[in-house]
Amino acid sequence: MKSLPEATVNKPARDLRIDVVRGLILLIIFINHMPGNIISQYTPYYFGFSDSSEVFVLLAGVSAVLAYGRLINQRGLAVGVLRIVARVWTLYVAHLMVFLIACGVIFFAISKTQNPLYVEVINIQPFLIDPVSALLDVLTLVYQPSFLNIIPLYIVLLAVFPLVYWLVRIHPIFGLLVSLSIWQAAVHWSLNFPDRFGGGWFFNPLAWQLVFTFGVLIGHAMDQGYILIKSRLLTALAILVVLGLGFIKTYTMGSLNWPLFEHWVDVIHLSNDKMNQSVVRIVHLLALVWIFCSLISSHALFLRSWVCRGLASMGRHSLAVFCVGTVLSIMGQILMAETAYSLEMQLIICITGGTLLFGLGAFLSWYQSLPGLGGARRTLPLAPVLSKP
Amino acid sequence: MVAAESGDVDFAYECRNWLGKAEETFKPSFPTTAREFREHNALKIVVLGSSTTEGAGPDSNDGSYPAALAQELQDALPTYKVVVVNKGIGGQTAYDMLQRLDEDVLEERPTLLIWDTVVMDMLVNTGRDRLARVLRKGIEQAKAAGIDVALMDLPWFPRQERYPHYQQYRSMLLSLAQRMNVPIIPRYELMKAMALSGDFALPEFAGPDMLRLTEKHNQCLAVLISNGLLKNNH
Repeated sequence: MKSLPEATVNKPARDLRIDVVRGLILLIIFINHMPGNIISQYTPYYFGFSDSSEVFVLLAGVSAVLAYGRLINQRGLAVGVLRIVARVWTLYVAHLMVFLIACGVIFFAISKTQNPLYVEVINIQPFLIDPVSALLDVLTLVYQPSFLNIIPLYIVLLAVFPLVYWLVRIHPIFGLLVSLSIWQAAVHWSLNFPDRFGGGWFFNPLAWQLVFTFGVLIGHAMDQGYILIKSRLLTALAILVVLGLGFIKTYTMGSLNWPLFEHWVDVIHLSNDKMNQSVVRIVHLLALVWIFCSLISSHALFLRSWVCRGLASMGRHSLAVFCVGTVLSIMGQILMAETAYSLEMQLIICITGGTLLFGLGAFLSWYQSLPGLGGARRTLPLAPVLSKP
Repeated sequence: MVAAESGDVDFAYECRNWLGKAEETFKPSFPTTAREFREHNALKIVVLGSSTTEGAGPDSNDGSYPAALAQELQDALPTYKVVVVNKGIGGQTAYDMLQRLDEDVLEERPTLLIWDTVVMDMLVNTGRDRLARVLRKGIEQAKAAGIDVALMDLPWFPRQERYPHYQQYRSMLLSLAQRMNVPIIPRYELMKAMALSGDFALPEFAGPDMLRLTEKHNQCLAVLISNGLLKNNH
């Protein structure tokens, strides 16, 4: 393995596509976390099986290699692990903070409006009926309110990253096989991390590690300087898969008089399990990734437009943007309900929230560039900075 | 039946008044349950649902309607073996419940399944097509296992117009129930009758009154289910 020059440790050449897509995904997650709003009906979730969560986790895998994998390669396992521990701690604290603030928002809304359904919005019932045990379960990640499930998943995945990376470095195929086996074992024996209600984590880490491993494999390949083979056949096939699955996802029952086809559509829809990563989601995700990587070059000019630069800023500060976005989306849900989902309010909320997140990314990038502030921190490899991937 | 036991003699009377219209529409026929009554003097119900089912805690006197239902049925059938299993998990959509149908319902081998869902699906906008698909599948599986099924109507609450799709989801549920010949437990009618009865401070609904309504409603809902079940199958 060719080692990189020392100078790249702190500032590896970033593939612009990663940050831009990440920023875009953060915006989509914000919109999708306000279910029922008009703009959310045009997000990828409605046209395919895998959705923004998969892309988010996949990119987490890619970035983990580029950040921590390189660090492990150059400074050794101990430094890499320390750095990961610091990051995991930051994630944990961020998760608790978001939870606390979200609770505050919900309690405020309930006391002001008496709408009993706000209890359901993030499933805050345990806090109302048994605060002591609820608090303990929050701290141990056993109780994850709705919309607050992805950081706990990320914590687990990042914590096991050294292991995943080690397996992938032994041989990528070996790493993939181990990951596939764990996923299938989890599906077959219904293995999951425990949750308060007995149902398991919303994102089962034993299943979702597969998506993360895909990301690690891609990151590893990028790190090794592999270039994607060009295959029009594969690209055409992938496009066919995405279009076909898109058709199935949006198909309205009864519009074609093919009972056998409709039965099959039913089977695919019912197999669409987000918790354990159904096969249809994996196939859809891989097809999307293939199409994206084949058709969009990392040197594409549009990646340098101001929109993409803004998205990339968001992507580079994904934790901060995600946390703020989660709180904003919960406020947005309540505001939409209180205004009976009027179209104007939906648009105002989506646009305002999106602009705030976009501005937050830009602000954090600017802030970080100030001499003596964020910029200086980058040279401290152990500091758990929000801005690291 | 906390209130009734603690000397709230008016409760039975109040509840009868509130039941009125709701009771007329709930005349279910549950063949498996009726046979179990005849042959084994027993009854086992599983209630599958989300937070409205779950109630306030793990113990049996938790203010939930499944707990009240167990009490109500046991009072009516003192010599019978009555079991009501509460499988409510807060925040779950119908699909989440379908995923645990095998373990939480079929393996329990009840005679009757009460499925209380749709609210969460409305909140997260599952989509009515997908929801109908999930409900159909769950009902088919339960029926294939020889279990009687009843669906719970949505709750009534003030200012529903907050959710423009609420009635659409509700009518989807009602028409699916009708098509599949599954009785609907008219919770909506009952809650509405209670809320508009003047016995609670509504529609301004200060917080405590909404909670009191929920508590009383859970008891009265239990009476509604118990009466419908016993009058038509026992």
